[in-house]
Amino acid sequence: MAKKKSEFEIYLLSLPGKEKEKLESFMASIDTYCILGKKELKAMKNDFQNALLWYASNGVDTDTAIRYLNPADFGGFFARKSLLWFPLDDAAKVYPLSMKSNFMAVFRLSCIFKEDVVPQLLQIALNFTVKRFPHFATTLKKGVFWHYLNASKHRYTIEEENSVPCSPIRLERTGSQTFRVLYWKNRVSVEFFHVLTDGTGGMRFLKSLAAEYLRLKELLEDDEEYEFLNSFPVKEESENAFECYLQKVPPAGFMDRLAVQMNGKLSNGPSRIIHFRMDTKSLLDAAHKHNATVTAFLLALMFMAGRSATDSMNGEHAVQVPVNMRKYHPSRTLSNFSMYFMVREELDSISDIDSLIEDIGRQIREKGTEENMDRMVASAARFVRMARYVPMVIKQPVAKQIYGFLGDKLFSNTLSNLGTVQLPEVYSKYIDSMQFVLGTGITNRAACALVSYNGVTVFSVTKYTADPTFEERMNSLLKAENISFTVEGSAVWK
Amino acid sequence: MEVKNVYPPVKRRSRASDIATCIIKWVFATGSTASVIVNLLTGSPWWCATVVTGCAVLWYLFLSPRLVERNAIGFFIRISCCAALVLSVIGYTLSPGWAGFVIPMVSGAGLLISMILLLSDKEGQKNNVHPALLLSLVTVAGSLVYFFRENTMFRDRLVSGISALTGLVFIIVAISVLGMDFFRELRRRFHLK
Repeated sequence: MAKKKSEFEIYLLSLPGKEKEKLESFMASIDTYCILGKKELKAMKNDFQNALLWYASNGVDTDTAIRYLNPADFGGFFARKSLLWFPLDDAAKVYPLSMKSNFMAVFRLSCIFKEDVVPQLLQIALNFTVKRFPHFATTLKKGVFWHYLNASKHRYTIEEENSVPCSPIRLERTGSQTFRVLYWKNRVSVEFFHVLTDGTGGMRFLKSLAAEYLRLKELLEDDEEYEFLNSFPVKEESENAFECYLQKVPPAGFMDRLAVQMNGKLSNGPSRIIHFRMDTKSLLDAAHKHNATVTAFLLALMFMAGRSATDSMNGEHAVQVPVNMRKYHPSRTLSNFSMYFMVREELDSISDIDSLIEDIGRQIREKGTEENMDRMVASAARFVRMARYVPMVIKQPVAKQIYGFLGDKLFSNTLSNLGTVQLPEVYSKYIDSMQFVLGTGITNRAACALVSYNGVTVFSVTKYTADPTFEERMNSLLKAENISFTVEGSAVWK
Repeated sequence: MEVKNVYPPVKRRSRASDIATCIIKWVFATGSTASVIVNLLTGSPWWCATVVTGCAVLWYLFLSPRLVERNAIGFFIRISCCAALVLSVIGYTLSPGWAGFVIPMVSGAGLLISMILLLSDKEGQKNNVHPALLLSLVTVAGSLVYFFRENTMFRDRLVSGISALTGLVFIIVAISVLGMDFFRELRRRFHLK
């Protein structure tokens, strides 16, 4: 029986001779740039065929399509085997030691486009983007003393979103990727295992992916994002910045008092995601009205909402605030380089927003100093040095027990502020907003994250309980401050 | 509060397997504890050691999920090590005299299977030889000690000699098949950074 012709083959037959030849030679040229296994190469070629078909159905001529899909943009990434491997940075070392089958430190960064995503082009964009991030094109391996990242050159795949955000990433198979790219309607999300990078490094990847996708879809001219994507990766991007910028300061302890937790039955993973999509200007105005920064202002609202979501009468409510260490040390690393401090408030002192803001501002100024953050870095370095020669077979169960016992009980909530995302002006025509979702709760009932782009600030709440008190109180507090916002999110996942 | 749904309908991962694992965990723990108590009351032979080790091995092999590096070589090496452990416990507590003959055969068999897997898929398995390498080093060292020990029977000496040889052959095959990759792999696996 004759083999059924594929859609691409039928399309080729419909073309005039010269066009057909051009496309055939283009498809053959892919072999030169990829030394992947048979199955992977077939899938890669299939990606190009799907993209070419999409271009054809959208009236893009063959020459333009071939120019934009040039496999030379792989830059030799798939043309040679990689010998690279990367030791984990000081902050990342704890994540694989403490992970379980149902718990993994995963966070999500999303880009919301103004139009629905074209998966055919997103896949090609990922194929082109991954080469610039060799540190991300890796798989997690287990050494005798520490885990490490081993280069893994294969076709990285996109998936349609169909699971709860920040679900554990399956790492056990040979070559498993440590991040995943998802799409749903007009949203592209990248979920990273924290072992790979932090919010800043992850955002660098998402920006490149989004820019490459838009270049392919809107046939944009080459710009600084394209230049970055086609530049050589540098050593500093995968360095352990904790080691490079280790200061001679006395280490600070990680231990603190246990914090009061919000009430509500804990769910197995996130139970709901809520995005407060705010107008950046009105948020800034509201914060300035209280003489506060956006972080201090939102922290105050979080303390008020958190107070409503607990039945405890005494104790402290604490919010963990991650700090990007690149702010103090000019590192180009795409690995983890952030520390954190805690803002703590006695439950009975949480009543008036202005006095709360004043105290939060004071705590941020005192605790978030360069010296204090360097002391935290020194603590992480001290832990790594101490555990260095202990074989994994001993280290892993101990870390699991400590993490299982302590987990996130030192704080009640988190506020991670990624700040404003910078992209060339041209992209604002196509990108609506960005989102940042945390997915690391163990006993915390909520984790919050903030990111701004193009005049839109998205405050995302990841809930670990069906109890809606926290988000509903946040909603009413934001309304009371006259901030213009809309609420998006998910249904409650049972 | 009105929330515009911007997420697809999703199915949460079933907790049935977690619950089943938890139940089995308790069955194993109760069984092991009961066997120790009964054995303490009845006195030697210490068969409870076999029950406890057997439960721990079953748990480790089949119920504790491997989160990193679940591959064929690793699986066979773990089976060999666990079988050797259970056999040595049985040999020591219940029926002495044959463990020294059987254990080298078990570890040798594990190495032989690993060698076949490596040779059949060099590219796929080149980063997975680490557990087999560790087992081969332990096998060579253990077998040589047993080989040169006084009062070792001829058949035990023969089997441990073959086992040590299998370990050595595995190392030589791994070096010749993987070349420089073998030494790179060693460097990565033992890194302290």
